[in-house]
Amino acid sequence: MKNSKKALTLIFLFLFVSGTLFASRALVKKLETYCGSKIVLQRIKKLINWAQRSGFIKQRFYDRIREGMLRNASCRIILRVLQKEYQIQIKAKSLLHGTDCDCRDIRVLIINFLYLKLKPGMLHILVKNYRKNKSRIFLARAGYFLLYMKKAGWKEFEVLPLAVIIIKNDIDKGRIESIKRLLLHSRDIKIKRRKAVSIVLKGIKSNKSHRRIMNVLNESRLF
Amino acid sequence: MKKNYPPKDDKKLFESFINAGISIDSNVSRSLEDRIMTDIYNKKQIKKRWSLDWFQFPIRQRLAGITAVFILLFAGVFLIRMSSGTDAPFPEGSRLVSFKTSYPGAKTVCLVGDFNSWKKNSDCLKKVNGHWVIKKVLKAGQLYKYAFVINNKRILHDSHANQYVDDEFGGRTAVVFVN
Repeated sequence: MKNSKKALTLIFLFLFVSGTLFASRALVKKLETYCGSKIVLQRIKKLINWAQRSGFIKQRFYDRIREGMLRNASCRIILRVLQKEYQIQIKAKSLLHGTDCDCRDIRVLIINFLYLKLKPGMLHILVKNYRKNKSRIFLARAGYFLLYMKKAGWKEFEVLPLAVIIIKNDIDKGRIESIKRLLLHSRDIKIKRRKAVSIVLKGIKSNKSHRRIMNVLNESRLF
Repeated sequence: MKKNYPPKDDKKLFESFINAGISIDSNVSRSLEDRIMTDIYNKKQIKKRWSLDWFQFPIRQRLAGITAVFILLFAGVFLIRMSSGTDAPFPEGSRLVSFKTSYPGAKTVCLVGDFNSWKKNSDCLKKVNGHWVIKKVLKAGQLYKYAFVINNKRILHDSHANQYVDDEFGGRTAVVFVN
């Protein structure tokens, strides 16, 4: 029974590896016919080889190639996109340096945040807190919270304490939505951002309800 | 056999042992062989009988049997697919995300993104009440870039997305956050 299970696992593993190899080779061949310039093609191939040697996520490079071909982008643009991917992966790797779980999912998440223009300094602080908590979902929620507030016109460093508490205290979805609403409300009633963040932070730390924090915000309003 | 024991001297004892051994062995092996052979014969007969029986059935009955097996298989597959609907449990740490768009003139709309390696025919949407809809199980706590491929040619971004990112190819792509 055990042997048959092992054999099945081996067969699946072999099929998976051979399938991936076959798919990547097919993509490179497709790219050969797609690219007019052989020099650019060679540079793309070299870049992928470097990425592989450096332990980067190769799949993301193939994804960018497929995306570029789908968008009918020229090979030169594809190369430029791959170069950017390479640089971002270097950044992500250095941000996660020394983390116990530098697994694929976390790295992909950090890469995506870097693409979404979250500052590496902010991400560094989030990753530092993630090391204690080790929950990817809370790291993702905190990062996405920063992005949301940035879109709403706040600066990342202004709401960073709240993003940190999301990771540290495992704040759930509903509570994060409540924080967002409170901050937007504070903007509407024209409370200084710093003050609003400190009020909300205190409220979250002392486990106050949404309504009670809202009341504190309303009371601190300047007339 | 017991009558020969105990022998008077060692030589006789030795001979008696040897003789006894041979006789016992031969007896045992003969009976054992017989039993094994009859067992094998019986099993063969059973197998033969079963296979003969199957082919001795009239063709109508055989066809009915095969059809019944196929119906059962289809029913099983159907039940599995039904259970993988909205209420079905999916892997822990994953969420069911629905993508909805409306391109009135489109013949086909497919979803491409980081979750399917930008392969254009792997996730095509279904038209429901004039809207193109698809549901996908995605890992929670992850961001995915995605776009729609219209009629297998044009690639367009989702105009109702919450977040966008430069696609680095001169346009922008929608991003979905799986919370």
